[in-house]
Amino acid sequence: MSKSLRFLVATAIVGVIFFLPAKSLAHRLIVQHLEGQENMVQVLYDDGTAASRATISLVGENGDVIWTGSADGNGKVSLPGYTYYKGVADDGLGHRIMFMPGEESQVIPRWLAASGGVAFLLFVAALAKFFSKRSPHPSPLPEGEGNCIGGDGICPHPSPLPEGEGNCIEGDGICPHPSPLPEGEGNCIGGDGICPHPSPLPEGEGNCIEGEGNCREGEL
Amino acid sequence: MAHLPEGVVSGAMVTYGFILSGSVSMVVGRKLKVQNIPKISMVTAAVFSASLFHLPLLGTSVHFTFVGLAGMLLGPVAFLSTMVAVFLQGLLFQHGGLSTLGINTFNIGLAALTGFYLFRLRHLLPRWRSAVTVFAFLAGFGATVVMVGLLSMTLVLSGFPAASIAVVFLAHAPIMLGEGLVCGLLAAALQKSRGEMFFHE
Repeated sequence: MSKSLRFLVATAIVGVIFFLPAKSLAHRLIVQHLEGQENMVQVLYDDGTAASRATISLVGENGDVIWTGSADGNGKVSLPGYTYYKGVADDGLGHRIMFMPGEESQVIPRWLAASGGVAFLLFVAALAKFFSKRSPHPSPLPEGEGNCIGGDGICPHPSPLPEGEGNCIEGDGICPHPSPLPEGEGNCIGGDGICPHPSPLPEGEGNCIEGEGNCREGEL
Repeated sequence: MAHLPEGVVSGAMVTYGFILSGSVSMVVGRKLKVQNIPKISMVTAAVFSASLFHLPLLGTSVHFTFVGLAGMLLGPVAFLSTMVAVFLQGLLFQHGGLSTLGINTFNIGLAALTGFYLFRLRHLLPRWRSAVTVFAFLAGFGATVVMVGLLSMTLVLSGFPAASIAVVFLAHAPIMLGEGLVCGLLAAALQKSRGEMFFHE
């Protein structure tokens, strides 16, 4: 599978995950004051599921709990008419939210939050891909032998060696397929073009040297 | 569910969480390579978006995490990937809190490492053709079990009753199976391209 195809597949996976649940959100507790019903609140998860296990505790100004009540099957709780400083809704399973009298829980639109997060991560990916093209060590071998030249990590010429033997193919300096050679012999493993270990083999035999991921001419 | 919000755990637990997750991050951070960051970012985006898949069960709401998948694809640096995902989920979805970032990262990141080590066991049976699929299922399933186990332990240490823990495990049972199936099916598909996207040491 080529690099661009792999990138497309990965993007598709993220896209499917992002767009499939078009009407759903993940979970956190929300407390809503119901319109037209004084002192009645509803406790929900932010996907809209009623938090039927929730309990609400009202705390006075001195920090003491002055009232506690449980939600019904629809997550609704009828609060007493007391004046209270703050309320705490808790489902007993690790979800908890604090609310103030008359205050609604603020919800960032799902599409905005998810788009922001995914866009940020894609930006980081693109930035890293740009900078990872630059190799810190230029190859001492002459240009035109399929190895990385000029410290940019890019093979200026396709390698004359057959594909799949751990050498640079297609001029991009990256092994397109995992090497069939055993690990630890300094050759490219896993299709990432990186030598996991310095090679014990002599220089110039087509293997990676000094862990720099440079492919040399010749075969192992 | 996997994310503990503000005010649920004690101050000591918050401190331990930051110390533990910071220590593990320093160890696995040595394996981070710049050229792998694009792949790490893509997997992090998947883990970040995974919490959009939710199931209303037993009066609560549970969601996917894909931490086993992160371990399979990224290896040890999956811990760092989950840390970024948890931070973004807290910031953008208000899932979890900033004070609980350490303990949430530790619980979820350790699950990702479990997924990596379970998936690596496939090398013990190199001639078994279904090893990749089966161990990928185990990685997804096992990682979620470990994540829920650590979450439960955190809740118990924070004074929650044992009955709550039973509900947490029961509610997550479909998620455990779902994560295992997603990992198994995805690994079978990726194997057809000679497993290039799996983590290789």
